[in-house]
Amino acid sequence: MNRSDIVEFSDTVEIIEECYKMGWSDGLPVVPPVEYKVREMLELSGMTGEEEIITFDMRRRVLTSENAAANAVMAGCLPEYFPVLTTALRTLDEEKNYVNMAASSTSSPAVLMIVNGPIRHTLEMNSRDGIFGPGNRANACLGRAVRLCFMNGFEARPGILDRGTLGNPSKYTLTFAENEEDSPWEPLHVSRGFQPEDSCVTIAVAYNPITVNNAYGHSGDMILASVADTLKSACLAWRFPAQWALVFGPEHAITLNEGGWTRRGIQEYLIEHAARPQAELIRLGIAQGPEREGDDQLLRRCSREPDDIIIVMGGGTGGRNSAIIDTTNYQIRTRKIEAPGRSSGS
Amino acid sequence: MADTVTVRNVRLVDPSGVELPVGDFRLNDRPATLEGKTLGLLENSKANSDKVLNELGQMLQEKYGFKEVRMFSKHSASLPTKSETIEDMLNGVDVLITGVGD
Repeated sequence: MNRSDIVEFSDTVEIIEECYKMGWSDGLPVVPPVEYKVREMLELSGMTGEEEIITFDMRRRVLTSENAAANAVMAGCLPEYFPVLTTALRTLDEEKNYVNMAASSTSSPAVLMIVNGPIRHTLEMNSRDGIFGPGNRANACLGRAVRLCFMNGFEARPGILDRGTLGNPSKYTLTFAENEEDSPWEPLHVSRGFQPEDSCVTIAVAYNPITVNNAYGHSGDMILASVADTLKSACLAWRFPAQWALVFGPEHAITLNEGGWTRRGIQEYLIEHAARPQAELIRLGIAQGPEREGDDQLLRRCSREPDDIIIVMGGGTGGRNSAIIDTTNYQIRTRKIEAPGRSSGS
Repeated sequence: MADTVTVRNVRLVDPSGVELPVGDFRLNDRPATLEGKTLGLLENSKANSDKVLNELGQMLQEKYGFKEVRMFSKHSASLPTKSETIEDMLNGVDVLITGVGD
């Protein structure tokens, strides 16, 4: 079938099956990318369908706004979600090797999107109970749309371009909003130089969230000690120094705030305490040897700079859970979402 | 029984990306013999890929009588090879093997 071919179907279920046959699915049923839905998506963002959103050199492919909109429709997105998707894709395109990594790496990273500002409410995004899903349309569909763009746009399918050893459930979606209203700290995007009234998306190439269930540590020090202990485990320490996203659940955030822990204080604590000698990493086989004299004293820290650790508050009450998200060595970027037109930011 | 919807003459928009122009290219003819030729090896910069390819190069040189084995490197495993490296390979070798290691 060629682009925009007309195909006759007897009912919508048959169209969904046809999409499966075309290889356009991530495994779940898709909303058929019917032309009028794609047009609606583009028109609300003031796009023609011709804009180049992201290119993929390894496959010599470019994803146009029309392609992206088709994938957004298939993922279940509403037209008002589209500026978040295009901003995210254009931001990823700024660091090419990580576009390739998110598409194809054996380590199987996903794309993380954290949304801040008023657009969280416009899109009715979830920042509270079950923040990582399932259950919220925008959280689920925006992340899914990014992956469908990779799969359909660039053939990033398992065993073809995507050589992920194990894959990653976060590749279905890893998108959420920050609970700015209840956070003891300023919103993430404000901490990164934007205005509270700006709508922003923060992008990273990331692995699955790792939950730190700390139910009995009733001081900020104990919570942070358990976060640091998790952070320096073999599954995360191999990447030191790197960038990280921490999502503190509200109960942990309250305790940390009561203990006087600021965002900067938490970042500095983790750089100090989430560290291991190079020799240990070599002996575990997570760093390349051979071991050299002095490696016992050579501390590898989780990050170089405090701002390499981004901190947000989200999730539900009633449990004392937080999460660490390994965001690879991709430079985490926050961009303002502007509709229509291009994004801007730093 | 829920309402049913009948959809006919539906136009679906292809979600695949658009191919970028690749220019004109063709593969060289395979050489009749490898003896006396120069073999190029392109390693992808992953840990130990150079060691594996060096070893392989020596084995191939002994087995097929290559005049020379030249090693080339990618600057990043996840980015396309730099055009100047491709030029070097084009001008400097008769046969090229590209290795993917991880």
